[in-house]
Amino acid sequence: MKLKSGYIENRHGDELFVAITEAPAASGLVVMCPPLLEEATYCRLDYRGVARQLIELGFSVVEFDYAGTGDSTGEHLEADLKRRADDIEVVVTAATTACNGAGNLILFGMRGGANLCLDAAHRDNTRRAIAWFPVTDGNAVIEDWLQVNTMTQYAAFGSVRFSKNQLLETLADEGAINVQGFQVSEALVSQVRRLDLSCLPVAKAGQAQVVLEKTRDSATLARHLESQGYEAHETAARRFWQSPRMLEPAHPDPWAHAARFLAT
Amino acid sequence: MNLSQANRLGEQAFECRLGDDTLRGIVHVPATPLGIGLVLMPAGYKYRTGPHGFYVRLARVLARHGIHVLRADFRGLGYSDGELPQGMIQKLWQNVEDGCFSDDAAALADALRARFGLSHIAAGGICGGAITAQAAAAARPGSIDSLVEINAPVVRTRMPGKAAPKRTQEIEREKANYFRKFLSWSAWRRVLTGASDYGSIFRTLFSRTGKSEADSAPDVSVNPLFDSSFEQTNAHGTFKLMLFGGKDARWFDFADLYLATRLSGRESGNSWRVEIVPDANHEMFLEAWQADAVSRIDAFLHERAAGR
Repeated sequence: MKLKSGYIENRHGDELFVAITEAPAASGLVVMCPPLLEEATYCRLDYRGVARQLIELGFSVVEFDYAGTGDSTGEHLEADLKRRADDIEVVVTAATTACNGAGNLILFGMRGGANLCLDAAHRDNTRRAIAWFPVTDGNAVIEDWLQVNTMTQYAAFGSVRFSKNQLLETLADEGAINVQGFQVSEALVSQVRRLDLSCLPVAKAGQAQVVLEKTRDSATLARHLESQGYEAHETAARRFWQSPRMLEPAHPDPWAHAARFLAT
Repeated sequence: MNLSQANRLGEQAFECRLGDDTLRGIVHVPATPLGIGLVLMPAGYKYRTGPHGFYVRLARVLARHGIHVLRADFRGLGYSDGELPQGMIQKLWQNVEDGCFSDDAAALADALRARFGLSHIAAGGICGGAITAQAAAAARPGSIDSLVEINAPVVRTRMPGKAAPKRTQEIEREKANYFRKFLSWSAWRRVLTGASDYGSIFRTLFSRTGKSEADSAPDVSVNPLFDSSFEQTNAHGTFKLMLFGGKDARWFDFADLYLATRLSGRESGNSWRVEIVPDANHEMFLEAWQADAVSRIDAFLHERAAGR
């Protein structure tokens, strides 16, 4: 199977980089939704590992970059979750009109990409979703982003020139702050802050599988998601999406769940 | 799926063969070429976009100024064929520092030169990208004509549990921070309430400024591949821009272990030039640092294009 890549235009005039590996008699089509910010880079090998396993199972796989990230054009500063969702729709539309196996469309994502793929599945209930380690608490993510900024200030200047509260004021006044090298907009921050997995809408049976990072609260959340129609699992994760300590892109536990889900 | 082969910025997919594998990347083709190209090498496991997309932003500026730029992945990374061995990330970094990707680097440089008929090929990248390019240039002098090294690692990565010795500038910086805290009420409150790390404070205040563990054995920590490939590229006349973030540990290592000793403190020579982006960290997070780095690399490559 050969990997083809190129560009398609999104609704805002940006050109999205898309790579597709098409199986000849595919049993389905998987569109992989990347995480947000540097987590997309940290998870790149993990996405590659999952893509290979999907291809071995006979799925066609589409990978892409949101506008302003990866190999796509556009400015990261213009990014918000609405635009990310638009980009997913553009890729899904192009892929389903052209690919083998498009009748069985699955969206896959990790971290923020997991939240976005669940969202995309809710827009059309013929789609299914596999969501690994989604963001369960948007406030905690924003706290991490602010922490990265203040740590950068400290390392560079020996002091924190802008506290977290002052960064939020800067965000409100100037519309952007720097997070790990990315210019992040107020819209993105406010939308990520509102991410809350306990508020997901009800899912159709068999439509969505969620693998949660095992934490003190994950069992409660898993039970709640199951009551909402999701297949939910918990698994220990080494937080490879932050700064991986190990290269182990196969993720055997989540993959075992995914393989069963894909077989149904 | 109907995909455009190139985008409106002149960027397109690029492939080259290496044995049975295909290396994949994106080439930025300038509208008005100067005949010079730059190959940006992945930094560790971070693939062809570079940390926080820095390679993409750098490549777009350089392409606007007439330079072909190839951002590509080595075997096992990004969209290229091959597998990376599983295991600790530090082991991958050590393999990179030992030159495990220098064949990939040379193959990419040769492919970019051949495809566009370029007269001069520069190569480089951040950290692992820098040492890979330098090792490839040393081993295959005909492939790479000059080097753009950003925060090049002069020492090999330490495995977890082995603390890095502090370098002169780190110790001085930490002392300056403690002096600032000496005047701060909130810092005194942390000391008085037992919230401070007393051991760390003691070790820093009583470290010998200007001395480090490495000073007693200055050559032990230097990566032999860095040393030999630096010398070989000097002998070949492969000019190197050694660009560092002023607050990056790689700069502290280079300054103490290489600049002060091997280069006798000379920040420029026949085949190298050291430049610093003030205050910048390892991955050049802030926009001002990125802009500074881009402008220095742009100027360096235009000098190379002009034959200087």
